[in-house]
Amino acid sequence: MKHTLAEKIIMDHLDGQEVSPGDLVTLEPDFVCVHDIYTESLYKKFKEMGLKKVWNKDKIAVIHDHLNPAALPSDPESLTYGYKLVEELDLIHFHPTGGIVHQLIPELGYAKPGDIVFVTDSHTTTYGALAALSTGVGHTEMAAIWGTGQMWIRVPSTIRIEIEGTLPDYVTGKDIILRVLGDLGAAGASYKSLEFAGSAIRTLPMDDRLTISNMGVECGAKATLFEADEITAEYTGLPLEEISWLRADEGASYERVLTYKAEDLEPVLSCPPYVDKVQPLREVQGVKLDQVFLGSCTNGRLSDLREVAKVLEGRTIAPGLKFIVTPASDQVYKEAMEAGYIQTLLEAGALMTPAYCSFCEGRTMGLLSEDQVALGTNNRNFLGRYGSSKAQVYLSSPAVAAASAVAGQISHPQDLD
Amino acid sequence: MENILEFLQEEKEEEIGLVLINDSLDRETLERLKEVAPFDPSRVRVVIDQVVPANSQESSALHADLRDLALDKGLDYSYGLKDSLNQALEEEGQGLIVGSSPALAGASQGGSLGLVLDGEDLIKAFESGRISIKKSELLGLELKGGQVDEPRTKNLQVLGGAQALDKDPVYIIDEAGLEGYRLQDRADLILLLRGLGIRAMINKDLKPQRTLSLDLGEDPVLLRWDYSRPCLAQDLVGTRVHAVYMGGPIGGGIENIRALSQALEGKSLAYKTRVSVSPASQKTYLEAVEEGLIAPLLDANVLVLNPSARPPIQARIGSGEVMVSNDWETGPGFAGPEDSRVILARTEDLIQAALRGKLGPELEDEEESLIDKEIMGRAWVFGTDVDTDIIIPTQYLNMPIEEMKAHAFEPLDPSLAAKIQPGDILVAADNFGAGSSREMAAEVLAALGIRVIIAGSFARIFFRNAINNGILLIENKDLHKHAKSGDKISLRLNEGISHKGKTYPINQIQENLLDIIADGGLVDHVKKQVDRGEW
Repeated sequence: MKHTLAEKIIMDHLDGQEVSPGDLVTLEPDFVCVHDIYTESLYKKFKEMGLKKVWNKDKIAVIHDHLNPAALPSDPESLTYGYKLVEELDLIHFHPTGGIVHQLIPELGYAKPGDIVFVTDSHTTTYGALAALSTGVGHTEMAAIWGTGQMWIRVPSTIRIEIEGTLPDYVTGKDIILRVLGDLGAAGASYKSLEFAGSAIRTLPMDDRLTISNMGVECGAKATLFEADEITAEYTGLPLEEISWLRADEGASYERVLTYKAEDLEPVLSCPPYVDKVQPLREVQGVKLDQVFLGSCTNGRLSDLREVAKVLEGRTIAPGLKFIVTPASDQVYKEAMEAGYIQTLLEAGALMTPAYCSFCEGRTMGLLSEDQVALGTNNRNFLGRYGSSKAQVYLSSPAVAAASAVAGQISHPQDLD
Repeated sequence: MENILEFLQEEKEEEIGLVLINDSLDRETLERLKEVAPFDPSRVRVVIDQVVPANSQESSALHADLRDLALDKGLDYSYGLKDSLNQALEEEGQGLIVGSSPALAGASQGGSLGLVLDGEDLIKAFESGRISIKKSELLGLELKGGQVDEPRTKNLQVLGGAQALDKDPVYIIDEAGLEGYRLQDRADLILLLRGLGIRAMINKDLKPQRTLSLDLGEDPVLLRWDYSRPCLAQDLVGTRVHAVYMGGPIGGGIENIRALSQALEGKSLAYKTRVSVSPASQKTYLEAVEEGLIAPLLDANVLVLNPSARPPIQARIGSGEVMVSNDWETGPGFAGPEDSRVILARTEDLIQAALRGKLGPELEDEEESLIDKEIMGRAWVFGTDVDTDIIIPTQYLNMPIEEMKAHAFEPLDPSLAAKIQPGDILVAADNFGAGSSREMAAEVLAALGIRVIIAGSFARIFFRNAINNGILLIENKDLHKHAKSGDKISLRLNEGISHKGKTYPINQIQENLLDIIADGGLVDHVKKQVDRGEW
């Protein structure tokens, strides 16, 4: 039988069993993680279930990336639950600071090509860029996995997305995924695996792949996968021979195949109040902005900071504009400092924050009042997430965000003087 | 401003040098300001420095309106990158500096007087560029003694005596007592006094009629959650610190960031202690980046916040928790519930708290007493009779120790030595270290960073060799039966060994042996004696 990438990864975790979309299977994940929004709930459910120990300490991480800095009155107490889990269950992989879970997991090699990974967070699809089948679950489910090491999953059908050709300037991973989810709609890939392929995709650097996989969930996808290639080998440090099996079989069965010509793609934005309300940049240029955010697990990586530094070199942000910049991890931050990007950003007037979820999580960070308009490189613009339900948030690529910060309105980088 | 004295002592109008509007402003006053024209746009500025970034719709709306006020009326505007006090200090000598930020009082030095205004006074100042205030009695304040070379220590000492001062007069502090003080140190002194409700300024030219003398004590005063309840540093020794905050216009200065970064280089924070640093301004942040101070902080799990961050906004503490801060703000419920405490301290206290998780006496090169210290590590578990040929085979004995250590335990498991990390703890059954007298068996373990071995019993020669190499040996017959390699072990010599919730007792260790171990081994132990002239 011929199989899609998702099917192959699942089969690799079963004992020689063949699978088809719709099959219900039970398997042991390679890695799981909880972050500090859910540590308290996970702890309580774990106890309620009567569990006393975890199935495998090597395969579990606890990461604090939402509540550090402690900004709400309840945050200091919430943070204690991460420590409780680590102490009582003798856990090894604990990151009380250091970065966003969806950057640390690929960066530290917790997720590897061919792995199946679950995290208590919707954007877990991110590691599909590494050809790992990764997806989000709730905290009760996670508690059960911690105790049993088992998880059921329904084999997804796959939508294959092929992009051939050469991407025009300023069309990044962000623009690709926004275009795709604009075409599919918020539920267009519900329960399915998205499989990205094609000559344009094969040249995409890992950071762009991580961006694309990160947002797969915004059209309902269970997983968003890339085939393993030289770029995957280089990023993970694994020999290509070991991971080259992570490719869809010729002749595998797809529910749908979408094809795009790379040359037809252009910079796009998600427009408020829906992620799938995607419009080309040229249609929304000129919208005045109060705040621009650069960061998040979608676009807070080194190449994103590099693009922003390129635009901001020798420039300052528009008078009266708030420009918040958050690197996705301390490692990214350090490398950006070495490369001089942070200095460029500071000189331009950026407000630098620690590496955490920052503006994207809403809660307390950079909130907006009712007539305000913001642009971010993150992955959600849901109603009321950032303060007033009348505030408007656009989502874009880093270069467009940077150009817009300079101009004070949504702008194409090429239009800056 | 030549007429500061007159201005303070009579009710007369005086021209304002600079007006700074920040987001401490209330909405009502802001609405009124929108209606009036500033007396001189070049001398009025809008500075967002209290809630950065906005943590609510209200604060965001206030920011937007302040920004619009600035843009409409042609006023200079900054968001988060510079605060009111920094701006005022940069304009030293501008005479009267007024505004809405509580920190402006800190600008009352040299030729400037910083006044915090609100409501009608602020509107009048904005519109007319003039202000008059109720007259005040002026009293001189002479500071005697105190920690002359350490401004922050001395400032905290001042608070001890200043408790008893009458709050009505304006105190003129003689500059003579403040040698070596920078602008920021003087601002810190004024702000700390302001926290006590005392108005002060620093000026060498103003000669008040009467002068009070304040004798500063020996020990620095550290404040608990409430300015009115100061206490001495010595009384707070051992207080558990849950959070450390380095920031504010003075606390976040480059020299403080540098001290913290250097102290934390290569080290980790005390367990469960949160440390945040907010550079005093964008300029300071840039300096810190260029000087390479940020990376060591990140490696030590410190959060580097934006400039103008403040504990209530981005470094909150929980019920019963304690924070130490080198800023000037504190008070009941300042950064957490009423039973949490923010203790104003010095940078060196912050560094100690970051490393040790508590306030203590001055950190010396030596660590705290071996008896009290909590030692934690990851276990490697062995059986009985682990002999010295296993620990290090004979053929390696003549190599340099750095090469030799890679072969430790080779006959048992050639991959083990590479896995051992400094701080790991060996756990074994009886007769650990049996066999040869080779001291290298102990030396390689010390070189691998093993500081503690817990075994049912130790062979005699190995026992002495290990102690002489600074390794703590503990006898316990049960632990090896329950522990597995990879488990976490912690112990305190005066309490016992803790493993997975169970405690195992530790017998008293001979005192002379503890001394040798605490010194790091026999070589250093004898060397100290030699240095003391004993041999």
